[in-house]
Amino acid sequence: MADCTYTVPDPEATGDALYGPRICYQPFINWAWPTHGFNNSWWQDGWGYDDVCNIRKPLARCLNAVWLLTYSADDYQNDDWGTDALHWGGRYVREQLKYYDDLRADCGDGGAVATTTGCQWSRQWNEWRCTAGYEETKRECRTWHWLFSWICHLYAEVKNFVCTLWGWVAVGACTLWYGTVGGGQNVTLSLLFFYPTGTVGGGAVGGGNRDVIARAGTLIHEARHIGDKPHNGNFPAGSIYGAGGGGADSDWNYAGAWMYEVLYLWWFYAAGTRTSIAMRQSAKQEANVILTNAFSTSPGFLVP
Amino acid sequence: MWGVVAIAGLGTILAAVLMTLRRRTTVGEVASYRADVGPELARYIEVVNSVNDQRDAAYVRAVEALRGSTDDVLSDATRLLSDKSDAPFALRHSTLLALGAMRDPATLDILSDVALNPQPLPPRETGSRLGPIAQGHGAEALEASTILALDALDGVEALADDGNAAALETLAEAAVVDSNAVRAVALAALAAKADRSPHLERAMAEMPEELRHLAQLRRVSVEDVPQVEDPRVHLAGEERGGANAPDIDDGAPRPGGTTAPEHGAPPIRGG
Repeated sequence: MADCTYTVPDPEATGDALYGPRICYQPFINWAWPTHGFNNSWWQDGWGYDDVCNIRKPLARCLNAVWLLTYSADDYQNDDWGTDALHWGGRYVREQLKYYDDLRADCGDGGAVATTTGCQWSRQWNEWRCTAGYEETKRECRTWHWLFSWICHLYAEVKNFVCTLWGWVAVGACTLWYGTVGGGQNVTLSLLFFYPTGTVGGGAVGGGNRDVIARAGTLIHEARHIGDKPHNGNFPAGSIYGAGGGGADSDWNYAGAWMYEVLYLWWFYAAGTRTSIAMRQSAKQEANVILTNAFSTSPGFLVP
Repeated sequence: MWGVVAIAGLGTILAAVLMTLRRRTTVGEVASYRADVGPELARYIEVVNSVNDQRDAAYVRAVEALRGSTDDVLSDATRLLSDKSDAPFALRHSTLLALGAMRDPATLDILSDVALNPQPLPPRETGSRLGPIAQGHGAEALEASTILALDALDGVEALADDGNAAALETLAEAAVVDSNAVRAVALAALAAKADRSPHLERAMAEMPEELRHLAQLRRVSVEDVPQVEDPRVHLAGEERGGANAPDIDDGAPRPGGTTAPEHGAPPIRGG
């Protein structure tokens, strides 16, 4: 008996029937495998390594999302960073996943659809919090009288030095841990990334939207977490994710994982090609759900 | 004495390794879900999931066919979208798109029911399994049902645009539904036309203070929202680059190319 089981929904309605024939191309698989850091040993035992074109199995369903991320811009060869999220989204996911080089599949616990495990939490100390804290203190120093402001500026420099030093210690210890006994830094896609319903440990799980564009959005979201940005806010009043609980982005300008996900979904809805009306409509609605539920301070706009 | 310390140290490291090793899990298919619907709805579902333009001839024909068999479509839709249905999200999504595309007042009851009652999709016990860490990443069932409610709301708004008074009334009711997304989209729809202002004012009067900001949300173009100026500054490390994706011809792989797996990639069975 398998550790977890799944029910395959209608492959046309999830978009898998549209993308399935496209991924079944050895040059694409040969390219996607190393560039996204797929870990061979985590895709065996029913996860699809031995049947890569079978869209009923998890691996093909993941590759469908990778294909969408790669080819949905009309001029897909242009993934320049100066373009829009539809163009650079796939490149960003590749760069981030390649950094960990360990994309796994696992049953999960029936809760999260994906988890990012690694040193992103310690890296954000010196690459985000120290810089932000330093600039905030410097701003405050400018409000002090010039006779005393030098004390404030000195304090800002010392604080930044200690913070950065702590960041490096934390990163070093964390990297050592994951590089030895910690099991490696990785992104793990759970059963609920691939399927809307199934069982884990004998209990029924799911009920979500797991079409191809939703999977692509999850990859963008997790990639942003690798990029040193944890959630930094509480969900707003009335949020379906749990009002007042942690896990939101403070606002749109924080440029966190929710913002990246919405931005990609929005561009995909507005300009996505080689896809379907149903996929684009799904992207639009999901973007609006996130915009109204996942930011502590409302971004102030909706997808029309 | 040092021998004992060394053995204890090694034992501790070994125990830590064993504790942190994660067992690979196995997975298997137990069932599949196939929609049992009439030919017109089945054809629409196939087309809306394969074409990307509502002006596509196949899409136009599929919508005309839906309009020609309203009773059958409504019967299938009622069954698939009911509380007791075990139809998964994607099928419900396509069915709601079908109802919206018909622009027929006969669809309003079903659309209103979905728009005004976003309920988690089955299995509904999912929430009880969520721990605090899963918050925000684990509310999948609620998220899916809200997306469906928004699909339905689009259909209702289209009917209101056609001058259907009952649809306009439904929009006003949706503006006070206990769902941020449904509320916000309904309020934006009411704010979109000046002659809807009495409905908007009525909805605003019933809005809790802490949710009033939802009435300020505006529908804008994606080009008009702040973008990520340079995603490179948000990379975890140095950019690694790598080979470009294989070229394609309008969605289809180009003929030729290697048939042998490389870089540890899985082989195509029979390839």
